[in-house]
Amino acid sequence: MTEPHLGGSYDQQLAAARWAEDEGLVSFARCDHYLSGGDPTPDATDAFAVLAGLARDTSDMRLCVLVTPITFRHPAVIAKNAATISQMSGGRLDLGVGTGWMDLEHEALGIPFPDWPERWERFEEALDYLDAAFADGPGRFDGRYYSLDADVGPNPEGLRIVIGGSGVRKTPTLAGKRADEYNFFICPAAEARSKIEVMRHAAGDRLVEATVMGPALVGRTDAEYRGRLETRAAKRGISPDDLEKRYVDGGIPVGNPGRAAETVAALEQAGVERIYVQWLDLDDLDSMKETVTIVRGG
Amino acid sequence: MEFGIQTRGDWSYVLAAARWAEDRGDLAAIGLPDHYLQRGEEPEKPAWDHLVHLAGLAVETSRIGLASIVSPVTFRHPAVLYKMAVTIDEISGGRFTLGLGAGWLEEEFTKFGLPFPDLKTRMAIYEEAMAYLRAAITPGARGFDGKHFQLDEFDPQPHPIGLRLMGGGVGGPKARRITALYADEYNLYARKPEEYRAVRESTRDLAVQLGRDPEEISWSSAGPGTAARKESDYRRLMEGMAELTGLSVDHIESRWEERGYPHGSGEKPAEMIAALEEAGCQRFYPQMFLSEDDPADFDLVLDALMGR
Repeated sequence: MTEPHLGGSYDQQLAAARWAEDEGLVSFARCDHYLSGGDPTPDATDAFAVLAGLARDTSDMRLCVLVTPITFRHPAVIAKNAATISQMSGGRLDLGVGTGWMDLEHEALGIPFPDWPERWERFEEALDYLDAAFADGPGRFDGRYYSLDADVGPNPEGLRIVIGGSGVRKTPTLAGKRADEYNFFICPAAEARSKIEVMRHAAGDRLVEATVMGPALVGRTDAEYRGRLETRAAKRGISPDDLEKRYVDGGIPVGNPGRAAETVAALEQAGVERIYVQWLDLDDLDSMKETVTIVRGG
Repeated sequence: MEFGIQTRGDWSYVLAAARWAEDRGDLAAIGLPDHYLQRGEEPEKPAWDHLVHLAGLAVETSRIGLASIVSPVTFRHPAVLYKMAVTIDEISGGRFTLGLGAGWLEEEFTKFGLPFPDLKTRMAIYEEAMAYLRAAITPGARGFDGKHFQLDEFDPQPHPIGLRLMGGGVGGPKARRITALYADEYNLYARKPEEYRAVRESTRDLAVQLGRDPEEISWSSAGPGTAARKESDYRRLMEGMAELTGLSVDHIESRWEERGYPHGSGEKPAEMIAALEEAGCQRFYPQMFLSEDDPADFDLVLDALMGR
C-alpha cells in the first residue's frame, strides 16, 4: 500500500509494483489523494491514471485504489474509469470507495466537501449507482444526488468493490452487504475480530474478504529494529519507547521477525485474510522490500 | 500540414490504432474523443474513459503525441482534470494535450446523471476550467477565484513536462476568447477555408488585444476521415459511413460539400486539405471511428489526405 501523495513519480510507483509482482505479492494498492495535509509540494499523481499505466506495465497482480473518495469524481466517472482499467488489466482492478475525509485537499483545490452525513449519503448512493452501472442489462438508479438510466455497458469482468473505513459499525455493516472486500486500518486483534464479526453478520452468505492496511516497523535483528525505531521517533519528536508503545497499542507489527510474526498471526486468527503493508517513502525501496518481506514471514 | 488521427473504441482497438499510428512514422498524434455513450447505430455498445485509455497509451507508445479531443467540461472537476493530465504528461514524457469543450451530446449527461446546464452556463464553466487549469499547470502560486471553481494560491506539483491545453467549440465569440486567453491549440472542426480563416484571424486579433502572443496558439482541425485515392475505395468507405449514420451517401456527400469537410477521391481530398492549410490550419485529425476499420483503411484515408 503506497501513499504517493506524499511524493512519488509514476516510475517510482512502477518500481514498487514490479518488485511486488516479482515477489508474488497479491496486490499493489495506492491511495487517492491530491495533497498531503496542508503541504502541496509532493508530486501527487492521479490514482486512476497511475493504475491505468500499471495495468499495462504489470501482468499478474491485482491493482487497487484504496480508496477513492466519492467527493472527487461523479460516480459515472468512477464507473467508467474503473471499467476501463479493468478491461486494460484483464480484470485485475479492485475499486475501493469511501466518503473522503481530507478536508484540506478539497479546500485547496476547490473541490466541494459536504458535511459527513451528506458524504455518507452520497457514498451509499454512489455504491447503488455503481451496482446499476455494472449490472448486466439496463442500469437504473434514481437517488437524491445521483441518477442513472442507461442501457450501456461496460460490465467489467473481475472488478471487485472494496469498502474501507475505520468505523466499528456502519462501515463493516455496509461492507458486509455491498463489498467484495472489507478493508480497515490495522488495529489490535481483538478489535479486528469484532469488526469482522459485524461485517460477517451483515454479509450472511455473501463472500467478503476481510483485509487490513497499515504500517509496520521491523528489522532483521533487534538492533536493526531499534535503530529504525529511534530514527522514526526522532523524526516525530517523541521518545522511542513512546512510539513503540503507540505502535503496539495500535496492533502494528513491530520488532524482529519473530515478534512481528506473532502480531500477524494474531490478526490472522482474528479473521484478517490480507495485510496491505503501508509504505510511505518511495525513495527508500530497499527498506520497503525488507519490511514487506519480514511481515510476510520471509 | 501535420496529420494526426482521432479514433475510439475498446482498449484493444485503441491500442492497435495507436501502434499503427506510431509505426506509420509520419503522424503527429492520436486523439481520442470523450464520450460516455456511443453514437450511431449501436448506442448499447460500451463507451470507455478516454483519459484512462490515454494513460495506457502513454505506456504503450513512445514517440507519438496523445490528445484528448475534447473532454466535456462538466464530466470532471478541473482538479481531477489537472491531476489526470499531469500524470499522463509524466508517464508519456510530455506528449499529452488535454482538450476541453462545453459538451453537446445531451443524452450522455441525462442518462448518467451528469450536470448539463444551458449552453451559456456550460461556456462559463468551460472558461473557468481553462483558467483553473492554466493556473494549476503554470509554475508559481497563481491561484484562481471563479464562480464555479477556486484554486488556492499555491504552486501545485508536479509541474508538467510538455502538457498543452486544447480548446474546443465551434468558433463563437466565447470560444475564441477562451482560446485567446488560455489555449495552446485550438481544434476547430472542419469547415470552409474562408470560415476557418475568419475564426483564426479574429482569435489572433483578440489574443493581441488581451496581451498574448498569437503565435503561442497552434491551429488544428478534425473531420470525418473518408477519403481515398481510388474512387472504388472511397465509395466503399462512404457506404460504411452511410450504414453507420443511417443516411444516404448522396445526403452525406452534399452535406460535407456544403460544410467544407475534406473528403472524396483522386486529388480532391489533398486539395481540400491544402486550402485548409492555406487558411491557417496546421494539423488535421481525420476521425476514424468505425469498429470494422482496419489499419489498411486508415492508410488509404491518410494517403489520400496527404496527396500520396
